[in-house]
Amino acid sequence: MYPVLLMLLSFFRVAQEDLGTQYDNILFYTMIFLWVIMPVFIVYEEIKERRSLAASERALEASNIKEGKTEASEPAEKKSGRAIFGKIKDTFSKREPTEKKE
Amino acid sequence: MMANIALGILNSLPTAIEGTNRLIVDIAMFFGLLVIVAMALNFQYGNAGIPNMGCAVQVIIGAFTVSALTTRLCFIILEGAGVKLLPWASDYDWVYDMTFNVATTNGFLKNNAMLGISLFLFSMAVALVLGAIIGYLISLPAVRLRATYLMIVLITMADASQIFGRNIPSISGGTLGMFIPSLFKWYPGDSGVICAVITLLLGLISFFIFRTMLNSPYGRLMRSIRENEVTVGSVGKNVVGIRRNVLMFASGVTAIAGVMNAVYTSFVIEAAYQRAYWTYWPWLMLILGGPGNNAGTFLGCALIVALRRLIIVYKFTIQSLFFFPISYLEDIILGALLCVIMIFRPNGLIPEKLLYIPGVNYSNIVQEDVKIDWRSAPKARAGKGGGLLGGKKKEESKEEK
Repeated sequence: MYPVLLMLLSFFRVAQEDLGTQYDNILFYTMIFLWVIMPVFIVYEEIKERRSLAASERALEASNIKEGKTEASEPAEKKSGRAIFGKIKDTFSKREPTEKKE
Repeated sequence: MMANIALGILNSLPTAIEGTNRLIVDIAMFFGLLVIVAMALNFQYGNAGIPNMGCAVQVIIGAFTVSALTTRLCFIILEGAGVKLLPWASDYDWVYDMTFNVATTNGFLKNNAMLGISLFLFSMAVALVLGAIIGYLISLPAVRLRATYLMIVLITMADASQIFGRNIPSISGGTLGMFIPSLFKWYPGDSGVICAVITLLLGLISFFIFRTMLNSPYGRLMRSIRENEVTVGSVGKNVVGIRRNVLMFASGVTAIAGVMNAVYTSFVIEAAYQRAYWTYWPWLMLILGGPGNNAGTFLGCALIVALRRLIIVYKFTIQSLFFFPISYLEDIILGALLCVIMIFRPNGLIPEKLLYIPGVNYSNIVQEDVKIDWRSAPKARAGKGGGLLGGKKKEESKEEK
């Protein structure tokens, strides 16, 4: 802790001595810090929200199964794999798409 | 030893904002400006479903606030303080004496930091209010129109604001433009850096404000209006009023971007606020990232700003690859990207997610058996005779007796 404090004090002392030229540096790196912190914060918020939504979706599905409203759905990977395969099949064959839009 | 390390670190830092550092500051500045505009646009279009094609109007209002109001106020204060300025009352004097007057003002502001800060805050406050007023004026004919007609009205309003600026020299110097006093002249270093820091801070603050608003009941109401305004109207909500409020708020926030742009460049000319730059590019950012999603807007903004700056920096290298002038490449990319995104990813790079309300534990809500005591509230209302059901039930019970 002590070396860090000493380092900071030294930094400010030196900065104070040569303040006229160091204003720009301090603000420049503040700007870079803001530039970095903005996307990090936004991405963190986004991931947090998506995770909680996914958890609530899983809980809803589980409660539906428990009450017997719906059947257990297939695993997500299997579902997405089938969807991707279906799309590729539709692209290369001239048949009608397997998933018809309403 | 520690002092030597600190000195070493300081000496290794750039001592002046020039060259690559100037480019970084420039990118950060325009990134911050476009983040503010794109987030306000996302608030309007992505969440409330108002296709605002008039972002340029709101930005130009901010710039005109600085050129027409703040500059005049500054001159009045200076004359009051005994500083001698050239005449500036008539249109002719306003345009042709401006260079001298602004230079004199800058000299005064250099030694009066408080005046510079006060004028800057004044500009922001007035731009917010004027932006909200212009949002209200826009909303009068616009909120009752359907999307296509609304877009046409807003595009024409953006052009109209430019025409006003071009033909009334007392606003922004007409076609010649005008210098404005450097409100950060008191700052001993490069004023561009302080502008960039403030703009990025404003971008971050606007992100917080928009996020809070979108996660509030009002945000949910906005989304419901976007999905089906007839249904929302049928349950007694004032759809026109809500759309007007959204336009007013977003206009005020966008006007701040105009103020920051004017202060950064210290020059205002109406030609710098074309709708291609201040409307279509933010739209592309929004559509590329994904409407209705702040993270998507941010991603779109970062990608587009980086792309545009790369074109500018490497223009001589890229020029050899194309047969047409490189200045057209940006516009071609704008159109081509819009087409490509609309065909292959109409929901953007980060599609919109379900609405998330912070502080609510969804798992608990879903899992727990909600038991509502219906005996108390409905009966209480029926007993008072208020409401349709209560009245009917009362009559029925009387007949039974």
